[in-house]
Amino acid sequence: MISETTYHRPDSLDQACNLLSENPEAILLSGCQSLGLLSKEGIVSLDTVIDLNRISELREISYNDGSLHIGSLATHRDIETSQTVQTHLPLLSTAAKQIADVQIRNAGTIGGACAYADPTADYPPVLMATNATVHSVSATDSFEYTTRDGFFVDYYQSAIGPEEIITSINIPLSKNAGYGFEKLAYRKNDRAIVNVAAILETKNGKCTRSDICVAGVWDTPLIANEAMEFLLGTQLTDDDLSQASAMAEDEILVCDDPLISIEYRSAMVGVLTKKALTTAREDLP
Amino acid sequence: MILNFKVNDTTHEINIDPSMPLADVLHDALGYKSVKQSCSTGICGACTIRINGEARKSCLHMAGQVADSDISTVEGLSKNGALSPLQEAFIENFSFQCGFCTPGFLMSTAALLAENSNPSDEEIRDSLHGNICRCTGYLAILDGVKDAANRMNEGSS
Repeated sequence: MISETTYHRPDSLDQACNLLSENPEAILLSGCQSLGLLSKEGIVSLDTVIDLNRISELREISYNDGSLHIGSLATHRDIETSQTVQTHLPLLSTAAKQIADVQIRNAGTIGGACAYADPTADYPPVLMATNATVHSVSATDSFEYTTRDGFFVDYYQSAIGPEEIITSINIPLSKNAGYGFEKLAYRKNDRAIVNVAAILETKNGKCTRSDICVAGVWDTPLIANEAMEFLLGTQLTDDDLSQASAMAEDEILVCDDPLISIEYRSAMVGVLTKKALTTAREDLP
Repeated sequence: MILNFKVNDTTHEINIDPSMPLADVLHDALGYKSVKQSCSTGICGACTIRINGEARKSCLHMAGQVADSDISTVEGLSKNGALSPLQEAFIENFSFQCGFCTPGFLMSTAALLAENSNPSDEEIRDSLHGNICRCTGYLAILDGVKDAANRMNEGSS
């Protein structure tokens, strides 16, 4: 007979960190929407579980001094419906609304999604395009990761270490930016075949900021550096956006998939980048 | 581990492995037979229940995660043996055929109508996106939800 899971329900982050330090093999539980599948498939074993859900401070969403703070236990539904997120970064609400279904959005959390690093997930391209940081703590230390700089390490692998607990995601905002998010999936709200987040800013009619992140097509989300560089200084005409999209299509690595050809997926990178850039241009204040 | 589960306002204290899926606890250990599992992977929505009012998939929650929360199932919809307006609306609009998915649809709809008493077709479709029915083709379910909203609004006015 399989022995019963040792199940901890800490009330504070300190307690949780200490428990994790004593049990580095323990599984952290937040929403359980992906973890539930992994345990059913036998991919993770639940010998020891640390349930984070009683640490209510980790669920806070706030706006401070030009940046959006999202607690790691904020659910997708919290983010979708939060007045603070809708006011300051509707792009993130839009991405949250495209995750699975209401039941799953009621349970799944942004911290869990970041740690899980599903390459077809909807937050990662938004977080990388906005240059968000992920914050974590261990029993002895605290850590800050830049999403754009190696946080999403590989296929389902984030940079979070085994003794760390993600506490928040912080997103720097700009009042002058326009935002776009596009997603292609088999059916509405399914996993992304391709998803793209784009951010633009202009000054005196010229592009001063462009950020494009494409996900769903490679082991990690990818930044379209050449396309972004090209757009700087342009007037963001239709032709400029088309050319940038074609560059993104060329530079973004696309992996093979038993169901979708590389050619199709690559073409969709171009199409969705164009749409995301167009939305971002229209969204400029 | 001894855990408390508050289901439809009744508290049960049981000794159970806290990592057990909530759907198994409700159906097998506590006897709430409306909680059906079909896919057991969070896709079909047949096992949908409400946790603190929110629609959730009980196959994708660990028992320990929801101990001490308010859980509601279809068994809690009827009061004193009388079906709820929601259940009556589903019956009168033939919003099911085989009925296996129906408890999940009822609980998703109950959560929707508690939040939004007059949902648009699009809002209903969004709310029921996580519930799959292989019999009805969904249109009868949409009719049932709209009828339920009307009945509940009449009942409360």
